[in-house]
Amino acid sequence: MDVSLRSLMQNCFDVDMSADRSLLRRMFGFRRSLVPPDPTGAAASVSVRQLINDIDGDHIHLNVIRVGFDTFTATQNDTALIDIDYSIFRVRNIFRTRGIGVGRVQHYVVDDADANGFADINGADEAEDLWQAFSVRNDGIDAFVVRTITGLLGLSPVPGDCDIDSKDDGCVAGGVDNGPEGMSRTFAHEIGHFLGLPHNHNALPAGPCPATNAGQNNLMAQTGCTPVVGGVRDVRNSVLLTAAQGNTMDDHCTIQSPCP
Amino acid sequence: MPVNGRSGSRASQLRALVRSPPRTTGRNEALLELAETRPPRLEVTLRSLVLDTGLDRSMRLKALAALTQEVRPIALETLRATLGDGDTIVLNRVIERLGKIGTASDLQSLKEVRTGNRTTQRILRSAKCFLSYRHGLGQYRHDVPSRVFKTTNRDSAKLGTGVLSKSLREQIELRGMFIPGIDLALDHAWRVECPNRLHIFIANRELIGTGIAALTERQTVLGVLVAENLEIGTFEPFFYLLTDPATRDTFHIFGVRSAGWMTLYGSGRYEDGVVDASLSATSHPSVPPLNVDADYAAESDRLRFRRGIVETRLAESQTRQIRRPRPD
Repeated sequence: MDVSLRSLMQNCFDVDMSADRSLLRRMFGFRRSLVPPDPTGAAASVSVRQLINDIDGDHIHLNVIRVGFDTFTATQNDTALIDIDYSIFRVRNIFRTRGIGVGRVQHYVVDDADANGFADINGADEAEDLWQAFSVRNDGIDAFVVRTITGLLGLSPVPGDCDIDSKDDGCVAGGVDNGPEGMSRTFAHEIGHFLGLPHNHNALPAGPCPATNAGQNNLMAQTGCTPVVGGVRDVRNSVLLTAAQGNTMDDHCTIQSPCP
Repeated sequence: MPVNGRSGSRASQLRALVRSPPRTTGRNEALLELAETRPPRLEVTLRSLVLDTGLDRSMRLKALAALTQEVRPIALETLRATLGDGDTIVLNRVIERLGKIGTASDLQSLKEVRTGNRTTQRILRSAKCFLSYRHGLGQYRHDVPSRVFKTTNRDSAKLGTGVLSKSLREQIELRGMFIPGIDLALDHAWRVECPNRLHIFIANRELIGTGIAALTERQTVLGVLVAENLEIGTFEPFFYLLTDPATRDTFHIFGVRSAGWMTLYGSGRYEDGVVDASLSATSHPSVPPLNVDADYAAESDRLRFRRGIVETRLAESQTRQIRRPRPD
């Protein structure tokens, strides 16, 4: 098992075996090398066997790029990293339901001084300017996470581009000001867009929202169409994907073949 | 879409949620919903959120954006009252919005802002330019780029234009278009069909007809290229086209993003009621190399692309502007 795990880490997750070999960091992509807590207090766990199954099928790689987090206090930074790790945890669980795994997750940073003011995004063209101004040169999806995001919750091209010299090779996966449940749904929603999924209804504010409960609980419903439970949008449970949506994502150029 | 009747209690729920502690689930979404549904006294609520320096930055920024979607006295008063804000990020946004919706007299207030922060300095200069162009002041101007990027013959696609269909116009009116500070004439709008996205060029109303002679006389805003924000459905500015007189008959055209980056540059000539203009990309990686040669005849109110080509990939010099995030 140890030998196969080592080869898996090297070949499927591009892990530098001379550096930190934490499974939770290098294979699961958790920046804190810990399984993130579930905000509801429920026990959260991960499985190496499940992860191996994930990458034994179609899967994606992610580059999680934090922008301007160097201005956070230690406590703020730790909280933000928990939210990012929780988002990765959720994205894996959500896309797994349609046979799309999440393989390599690498973390990158853009310091506030280099961010040209894009650590706090205001509007769609600023979001685009961010992913056009920075790019990681590998086969992962560039998912930018900012400090605050205003006027929208995240943004992605539909579909995203796999050519790293094109201008649509990334997305803004959300802001850590959104809290863990909101941010993790937005993160998954934007990855869905990048993989070619449009909204499952006419865009708000005109709408209308999906008429059915299943439609409102679909991952690709705008947050403003998700069911209201106890006065709050139920972003935790509105993460369903249909088989047809799975097929659409399967055809995207960034989908990786099974590994090894 | 005002909130009333049964949904009035929803507005109260949303107001309470907005005032809940940071990171509360649904808090950000609540402000978005509040801004969309526009309940009574929304502006007063937003103003109090912006001015509350004890509130977290995220909510103040969101309230500021919602409040300044229209040029209203309360929006301008709030911006002016916040121009000395101690939070640099809030201050940056206040400066940017004042450039977009402020009056000519706000230029003096912006001139008095002192900062050592490079990002704030850049936003300040951009805001002063916006005010100068919007009000034809001629006091601040964009620099002509040293180099522009026209298409070569590698992978290129056609850019098309045509009149706005009735249904598209209705979509824009239905979903909303928040570009305050410029009187855009939706009845003088044209499609600009790019390979992956439809933009819509909407002319500045004051330039319609014989007003275009002003292009060679003073700074102004030619119009705005808007596109659908795919995430929230509204139509938003993607490029502001600002003009600056050059010689007796000619003028510069600058395509500027909301954050102030100049991504398009070109020039135009005005003669006998006809404008001839050309536009290319700058080195900024937001726009791949392109050539647009167009003319507009005031009498017939007709915009025509004589040539419209865009490359599908960035030029090598543009890709060199793309920066690499640092591995963590």
